[in-house]
Amino acid sequence: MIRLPKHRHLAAAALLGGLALLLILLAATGRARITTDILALLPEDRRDVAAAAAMTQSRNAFFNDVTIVLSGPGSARADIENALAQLQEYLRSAPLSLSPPGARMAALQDIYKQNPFEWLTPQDRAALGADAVETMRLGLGVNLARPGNFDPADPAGFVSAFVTQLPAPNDDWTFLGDVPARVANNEIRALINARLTESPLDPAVQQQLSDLLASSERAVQRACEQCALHWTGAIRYSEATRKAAERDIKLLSTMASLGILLLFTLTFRAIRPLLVTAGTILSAILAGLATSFAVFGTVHVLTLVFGTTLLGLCVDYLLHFMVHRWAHADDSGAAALRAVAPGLLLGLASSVTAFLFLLFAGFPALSQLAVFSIAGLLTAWLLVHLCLPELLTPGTANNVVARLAITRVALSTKARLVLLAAIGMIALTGIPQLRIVDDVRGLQAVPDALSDDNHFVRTTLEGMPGDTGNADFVLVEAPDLDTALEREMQLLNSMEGPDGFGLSRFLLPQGAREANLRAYAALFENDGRQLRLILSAFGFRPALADDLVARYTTSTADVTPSATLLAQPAFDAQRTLLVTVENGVALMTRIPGDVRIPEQMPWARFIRPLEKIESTFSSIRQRGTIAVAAAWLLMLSILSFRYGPVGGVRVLAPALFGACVAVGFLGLAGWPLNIFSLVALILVLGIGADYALFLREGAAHIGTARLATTLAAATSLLSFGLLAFSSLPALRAFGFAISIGILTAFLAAPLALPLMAERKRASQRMDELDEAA
Amino acid sequence: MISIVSVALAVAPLTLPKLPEGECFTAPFVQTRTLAALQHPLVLKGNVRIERDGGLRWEINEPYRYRFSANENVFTEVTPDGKERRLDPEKAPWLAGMQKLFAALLGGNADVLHEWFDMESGQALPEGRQVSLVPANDAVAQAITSMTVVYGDHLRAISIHEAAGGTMSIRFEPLVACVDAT
Repeated sequence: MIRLPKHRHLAAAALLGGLALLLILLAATGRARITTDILALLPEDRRDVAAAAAMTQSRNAFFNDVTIVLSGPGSARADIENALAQLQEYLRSAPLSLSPPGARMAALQDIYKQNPFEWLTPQDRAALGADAVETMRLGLGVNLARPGNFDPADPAGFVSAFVTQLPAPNDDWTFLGDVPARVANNEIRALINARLTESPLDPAVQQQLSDLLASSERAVQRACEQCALHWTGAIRYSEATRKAAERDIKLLSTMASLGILLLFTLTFRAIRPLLVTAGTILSAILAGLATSFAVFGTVHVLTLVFGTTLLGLCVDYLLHFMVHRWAHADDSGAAALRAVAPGLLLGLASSVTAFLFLLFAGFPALSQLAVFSIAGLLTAWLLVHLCLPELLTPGTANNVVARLAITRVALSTKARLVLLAAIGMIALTGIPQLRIVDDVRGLQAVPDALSDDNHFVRTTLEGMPGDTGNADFVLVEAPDLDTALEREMQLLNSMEGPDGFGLSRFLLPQGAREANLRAYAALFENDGRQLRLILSAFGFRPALADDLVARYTTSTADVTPSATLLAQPAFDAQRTLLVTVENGVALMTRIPGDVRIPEQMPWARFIRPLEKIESTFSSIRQRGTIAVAAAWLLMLSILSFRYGPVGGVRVLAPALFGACVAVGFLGLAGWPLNIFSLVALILVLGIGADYALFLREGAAHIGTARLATTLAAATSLLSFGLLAFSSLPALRAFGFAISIGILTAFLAAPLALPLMAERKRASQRMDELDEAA
Repeated sequence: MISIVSVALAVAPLTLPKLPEGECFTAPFVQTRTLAALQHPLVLKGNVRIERDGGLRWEINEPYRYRFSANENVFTEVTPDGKERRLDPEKAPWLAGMQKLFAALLGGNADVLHEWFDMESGQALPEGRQVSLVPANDAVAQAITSMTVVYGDHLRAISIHEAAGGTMSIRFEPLVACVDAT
């Protein structure tokens, strides 16, 4: 038997004060952050570090990107330009960094022109290598004859040729001022790509940006009636999900609270049980939060939502104590606690065992959930022991109400079996229709307006360099940057079809740049004698030759390392394609169409991030299921030790049946089985086991045990069942599965009672009725 | 070259003389390039051929030979050594830009020019009306500072002030119908 401290209230106050202090300290030191990034719940991939790092880098870039499209009819070009100016004015006050692609390209061209002899197309390098003098002479002649501009620093146009081969938008794209615009089908779409300067997960930043874009949309429409503004980005999805969650929490929690208030009022006719219950749940949440932040630092919002939900389990502890206390008002609080304590301890042990297994499943999502729930449940259990016996004193008038309620919840065993068989049969028909889906994107709440805007922006981006219509990429690994660039060039050259997009298209490896310099060698021998002859023949002053010879000499004396070039701001956009890992580097290369990597390139791998994420979620689901099954076997051993093997199975069977029925009904309703359904099933198993356990342990006072279980089921259905009406698909499926599972487990729970007790139950019930009368 | 290349956009309507009736026209021209790096302006003489459907042939005959042809997205170039090479417009998008710009200038297509330039009608000269073109976007401005064209009954002269510091002037003789239809 557990020995309770003498000064129970002081101990409880110390516990809660300590937890509050811990939470404040963690918040003050920045170790109490909440994230909405669902992918942060995934485990680190230690088997494929390079791919994991590339995916993380790509995801981080995507997370901070905001893409805005201003569209209008081709006939309203002037109005669109005015509207665009208005929009740009508004965006200046947004937490965004705007870097027009024209300016980025100009900065790159400046880099190329600093050392013009290092940058050649493969064709020009081959031609120069074969006959540098004749190639220069022809190049110069052609460049002067073409009706285009002429840059003396690039007399034969070789750098220009290199620049024009860089990845560029297709012919549909032009510019409105410094903004790229797609002109097609008599429609103009101006594209603004921006990067957030503050966290996209910060609600204040989300609100600021959406308010600002709403204002700018009105300004845009004043300037151009036929124009429309479309925008997308992770920040908008995050805001939509957060707002939907907030709306749901407000609405559903208010409804659940009102329902529970009504239930408690009708049952106990007193406000104190409700206040004590609310206080205990809040304390459990406080403990869950403080412990999770202390262990993990950053906790996902879903951990909080699901964790708080799981803490609904602790209401059962309170209800069992309170119902017993109310039903046996003449007994002391300590006596009531002694009567229900074994059941509470077993309930706690079974839940903690299940969560401990989740903790060791090795996935951050499940680990966070487990730590949150274990800390919350332990705190609630402790508070029941420390505070409840003295806090709750029933009035005599309430006894009648409580006992009358008992009479209305009984159902004969036969009727129960028939009802359960019918439910089981219906659930069975749903099993074949059950789908297992691990792509969690479908579980996001995406408003139609956002979905339409996102589609509009994505279709606008078609034809932009690097846009392959998906997140797939080829990962080119190498021990160093130059080898990686060379390998990527080799890969891109081997590909048929449209050109790929990679860093080596913009930054030639040092070896290639040295080879380019060597290709010019014949022109610059003897102080550039051949070059001087050619330039002189076209009428150029000697000063131009002097300048070019000096540049060439400087370049060959000190070829800039690739890493130094890449570190320059002009390469900001391209730098995101490089991933640095422990044993070298990797380049992310985007290749449109079918990608078949030649066998002789073992250093290149095709990566499909979505497939990898799905596979990780699938893995979490499978390992979570195994962990829960293992926990159940352990619980079965513990319960078998107490009730014997058959008794143990009987206690656990109702919950298992409830979980199976929930799975069947998920199939019938067309909801997929995924990681969120798994959490729901864990809850059904935990709560269902508690119902049977409490009935079994309360067999001596079966009436009160049954009333407590009924109240527990009703509160659970009110709390979790209402989630079935959430606007978030993930919560909807979760609430639906829990409602069905809990209801079934509740109906099946009396089957866990020993046969003898079942026989005794009728006579005991009569006794209680007599007393009530 | 990236110039006329990336080119882009528009303003108020301005009417320019269109091509006369007929499918194909040709005109001799003199192209004078002035650069600080050149001892004397480089003068090239040649012939331009413009087709109503946008086909363009830019031919230099003196002091050396060069030819650029664009027709239905097929681009070819004959270099001074007499070798013909086909150019890939995907690898060198300036080709399409150049064809579009010169076809618009020669054909008097103000709508297309408005896509890239702010245009302003200038003073009347003995040979025709002067029109100033200023790049309407950064991409064009990277290559061209400004452009002046003179229209009589058709395009008579172009003067391009390049961002790199040079100037290219092209004077056209009167357009005549092509002798051959090919």
